[in-house]
Amino acid sequence: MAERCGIPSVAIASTGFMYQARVISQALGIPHVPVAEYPGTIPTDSSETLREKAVSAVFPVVVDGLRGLVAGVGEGDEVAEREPDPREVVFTGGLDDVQDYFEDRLWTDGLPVIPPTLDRVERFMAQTPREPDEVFGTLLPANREATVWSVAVNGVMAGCRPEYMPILVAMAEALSDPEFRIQDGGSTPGWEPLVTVSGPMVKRLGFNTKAGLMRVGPRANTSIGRFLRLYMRNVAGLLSPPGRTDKGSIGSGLNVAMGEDDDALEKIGWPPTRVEHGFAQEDDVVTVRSVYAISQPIYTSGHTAETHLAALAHIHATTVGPWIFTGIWFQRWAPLLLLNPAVAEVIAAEGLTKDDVRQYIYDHAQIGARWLDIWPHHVGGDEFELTKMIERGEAPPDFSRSTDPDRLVPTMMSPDELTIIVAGDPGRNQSRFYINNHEQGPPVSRRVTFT
Amino acid sequence: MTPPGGEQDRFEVLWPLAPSAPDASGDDRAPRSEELAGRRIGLLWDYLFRGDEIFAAVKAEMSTLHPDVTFVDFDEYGNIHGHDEADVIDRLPIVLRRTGVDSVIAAVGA
Repeated sequence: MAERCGIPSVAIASTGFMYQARVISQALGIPHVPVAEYPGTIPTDSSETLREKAVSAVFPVVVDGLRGLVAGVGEGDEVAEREPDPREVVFTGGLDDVQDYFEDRLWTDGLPVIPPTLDRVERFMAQTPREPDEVFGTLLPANREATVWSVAVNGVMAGCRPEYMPILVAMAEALSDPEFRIQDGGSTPGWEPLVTVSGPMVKRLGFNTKAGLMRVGPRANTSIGRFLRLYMRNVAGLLSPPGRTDKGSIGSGLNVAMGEDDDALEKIGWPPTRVEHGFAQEDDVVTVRSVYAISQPIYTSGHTAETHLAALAHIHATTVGPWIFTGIWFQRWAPLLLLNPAVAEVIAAEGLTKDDVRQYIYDHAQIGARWLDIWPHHVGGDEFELTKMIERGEAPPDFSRSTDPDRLVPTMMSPDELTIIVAGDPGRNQSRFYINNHEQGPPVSRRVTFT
Repeated sequence: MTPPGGEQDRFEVLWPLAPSAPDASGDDRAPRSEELAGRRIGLLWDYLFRGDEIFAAVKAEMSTLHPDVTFVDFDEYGNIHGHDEADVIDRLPIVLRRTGVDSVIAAVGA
């Protein structure tokens, strides 16, 4: 922005983020901006070491950068190859050759792909009235246009059936929504995307909503979940080999698509998520979101709601933990409870609603405030200690009922942030929480339109 | 038409990426001068990764080598990576002008 105002600028980044700086600078059209490299890992250096590195390594580049004597971080790269036309054949070979060709170019997720041939892609395109070159948005860091055609190609590769195409289109639309912040998909927490599906399509297309619903296996759940990550790699450009744009420090495995069990909901009279979010009962809806952490399996037993809810609240608090400070920081928080149907039945039998469950979790899932002052330091954001955010008026009132550092505070910003999806093994009593990463990958929904 | 399956089959495959977006920004290169004397430098910060400490070291070193260089601190501009990031960035041209800076240092990517 400063450069666009005619003000010469220099940026500072640590070693592990120089490649990302290069890609982003090119995507933003400012490859000429120099980036001064801080060598090593900022959060683990002593104050003395940090100052020494700032003076010896950062300062000279800052000065020379401001004087125009240093090349921009994104300059000097090889000229990009011509991009193929959508229908152009880029390679011909046997199955193994295709796998190698794609793997060499980082066009796969490490698993073999279905070769995206023209006839296969056209079978996907036949399932949507959308034009192949329709663009949903521009995805960073690759700065590529999310087109309907690219959805079809990656859908083929992921092993989807052609009839899933309208779902994939809706997912790509949601992913491209600026609210989703796909540009943050490579942040160090290493969040993984999750798509949830709700509506008549869940049964019709054979999504598993019962035992083992989050396991790799059923084609609808698995291939659609795989498509989401593959699309983030190939079109958004979030590549995970070390030194690339995906800076997830550890990361986590693929999330298959999570289907909502309408039968279980109907039995207890609770609304599905799509209706809660303003869609019609007969609508088909997909929602994409980030998953920063998944709780342990939460077994809850008994025939009264309280025993179940108390255990759920406890595990929510221990799963979220002090990470709630990021929710306050970014003013966005969106956990998801995958609630077991048998457990939901016990809760609903007492006349409790989904809103009652949300309120209970909000009221009882608490941790010691002290951790929200300690944790930001570990993450690298001292300015976001809870005490400082309270002083600046950024924290909700329930976080500042007293100044006792050992007081209990919520692990949500408000009750209505919690999405509750009823699904899972009706023959057992196990639920789970899926915690999103604050403003990065909040839930974004789209209606699915089948032709 | 590509033949279906089989070890001996050959596949004609398409490109799985998507077109690069046209560069809408044009040439955003700000003019640069080798002269540092008298510069007024604005500090932009994402309030992360000890940028305040790095800025302090840079300022101290600069004041030794180029004492007539002045700085406008990051708190004048706000957090460029907070919940109101979009507003902060939208306001930035106005605030940069108001603070009269002719150079910017932005930190920290980590």
